[in-house]
Amino acid sequence: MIRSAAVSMSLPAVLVITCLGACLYDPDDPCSPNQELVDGVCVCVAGAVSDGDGGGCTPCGANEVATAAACTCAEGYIRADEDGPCELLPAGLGAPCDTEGLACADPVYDFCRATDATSGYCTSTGCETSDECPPLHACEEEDAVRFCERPPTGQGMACASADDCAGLEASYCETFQAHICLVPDCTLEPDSCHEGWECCDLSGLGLDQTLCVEEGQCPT
Amino acid sequence: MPDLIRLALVAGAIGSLDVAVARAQGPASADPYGDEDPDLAGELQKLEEDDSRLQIYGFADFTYTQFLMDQSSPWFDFYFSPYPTFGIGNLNIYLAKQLSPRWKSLIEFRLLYLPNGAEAVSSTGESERTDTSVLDYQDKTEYLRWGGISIERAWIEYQAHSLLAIRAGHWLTPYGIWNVDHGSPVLISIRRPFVIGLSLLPESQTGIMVYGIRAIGDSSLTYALTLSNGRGPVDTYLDLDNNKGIGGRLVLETRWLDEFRLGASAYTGTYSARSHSYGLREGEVEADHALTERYRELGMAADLRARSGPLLIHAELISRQAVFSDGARPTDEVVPDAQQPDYFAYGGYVLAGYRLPWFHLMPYVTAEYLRPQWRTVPKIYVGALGVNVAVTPTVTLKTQVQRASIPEARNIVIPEEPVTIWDAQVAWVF
Repeated sequence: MIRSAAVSMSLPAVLVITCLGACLYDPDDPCSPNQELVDGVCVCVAGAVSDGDGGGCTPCGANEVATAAACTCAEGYIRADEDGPCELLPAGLGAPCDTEGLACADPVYDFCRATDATSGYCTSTGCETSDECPPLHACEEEDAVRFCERPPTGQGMACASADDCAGLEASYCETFQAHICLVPDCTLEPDSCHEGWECCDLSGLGLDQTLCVEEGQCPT
Repeated sequence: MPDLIRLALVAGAIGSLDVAVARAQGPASADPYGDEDPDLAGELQKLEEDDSRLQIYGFADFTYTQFLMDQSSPWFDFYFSPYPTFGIGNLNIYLAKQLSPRWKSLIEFRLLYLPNGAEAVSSTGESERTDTSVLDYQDKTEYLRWGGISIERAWIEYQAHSLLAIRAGHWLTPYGIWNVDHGSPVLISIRRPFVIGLSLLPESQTGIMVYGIRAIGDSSLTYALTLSNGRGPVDTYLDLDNNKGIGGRLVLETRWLDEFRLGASAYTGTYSARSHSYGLREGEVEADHALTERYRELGMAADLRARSGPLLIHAELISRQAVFSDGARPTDEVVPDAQQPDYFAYGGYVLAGYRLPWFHLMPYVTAEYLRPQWRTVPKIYVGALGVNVAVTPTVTLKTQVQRASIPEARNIVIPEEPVTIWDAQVAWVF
């Protein structure tokens, strides 16, 4: 009888010893899909971005690059709407130019819109409304010329620190809430922000700063 | 029988697995003291004569603690008070009743001074202690500090047969040695092993447990099967998923040596935490129930209790594997945009005690090794040396020096210097 009891005990004992190694846990795959283990924590693999709290990681799609917490269009590509794919910009649109030197060669996008002294980008003229402009571009007027203006570079791009926005027109990293790059030092009258955005004066919050924020998002 | 009395009265385990084994085993049952107790035998006889009485008993311990590191130790910056301290640790009350020949009930609760004095550190590094001081309505000139109650277990049991007892309610998970025999007067050392405190298997569960015992010659085989809510944020009364926790335990007890008990336990379940939010959309109340954390786990444990003459050995080996669900993996508290990985944590301890022939003295030594799930604390070593004195069957004096070392810690607030603690305790049954 002792022997049978010992045999009865041996089975769970073997199971315990076996599972002390691993029954459920896989040491070669301790993270979620599109994650890798780095210094003891799970982080997104290259080309994937975090879905937020507990949500794992999602690989960026075609023509997208992973930034701090979002997939943004690669250079030369643009998203027609927020959830749309990144599509190739029309040839010549956005090409670098200089009002005193390098002209725009494309006959459709033949207007050089200066963004920094004389250098800028090529775009089209003659629009009446933004609907006539390429995706995300807004119809603006300056010096009696109506042209399609692209959004500020980096605007709305996810960031973790000011370094992520450095060198972009949206050079201010808002690290309190949205964690995105925003255009600083805008003017309220007239509103200098791109269409769909508004200039927000943060002095009411104790910050001597104006920022372009999405319309309706300025704290009152 | 005296052994049974002590286990029943001291550990509050009337009707528990251990006592069931003890009843079947008679004099061979487990007893860390290994001596006779005629006073309590008489007390038990009285209880047995009037089984329907509500039995109220409990245990308490009073401890002096002093950390033996230098006053400038960085441990005092983050974790411990540098000042020697007296304190009441456990103050547990048991309410037991044999409701009928086959029905019985046990309720255990611990009285706490907490939350008074509980410390919380904010994200900005500010530390704040909870202060429960309120003006006593009976004496408007005096403030009192109210405390709390922790319900340790509350169950009812039906004994259908020696092979089948059904327990329903909130019960201690039947695993190992320490988790069930948690009354400080019967514990040999003062501090419980770290591996027990980590709760690699749930300390307690709410649900149904069936167990039984089969005598096999001079030996016995005990089984237990459990079905519960499993682990969860409010698992004592609310299950947040459809996956019940299941577990089991097998114990072989033989007369090899003076006492030899070998146990194996397992538990598996799913932990789920959810957040609820409510809002208004187009005039309708909209509820959102988001799964914030979920993992499957498998805990396994093996334990050995052996005694040969004055020499007593306790050993436990416990492991836990946890695999998070995709989409419900918790974020890392330190690294931004990072999440916690699945883990395999394990640990074990060995305690050896030797009962000297004088004054019920038992010098003891413990050694423990732990691989916790925390990435910044890869391993922990703990050793202790102490003496346990059973001055009466209901009063135990203990003193010990314990040293814990956390090598290779990668946490900026965990110093490399080992922690050394001296404790002296009196624990008693009442």
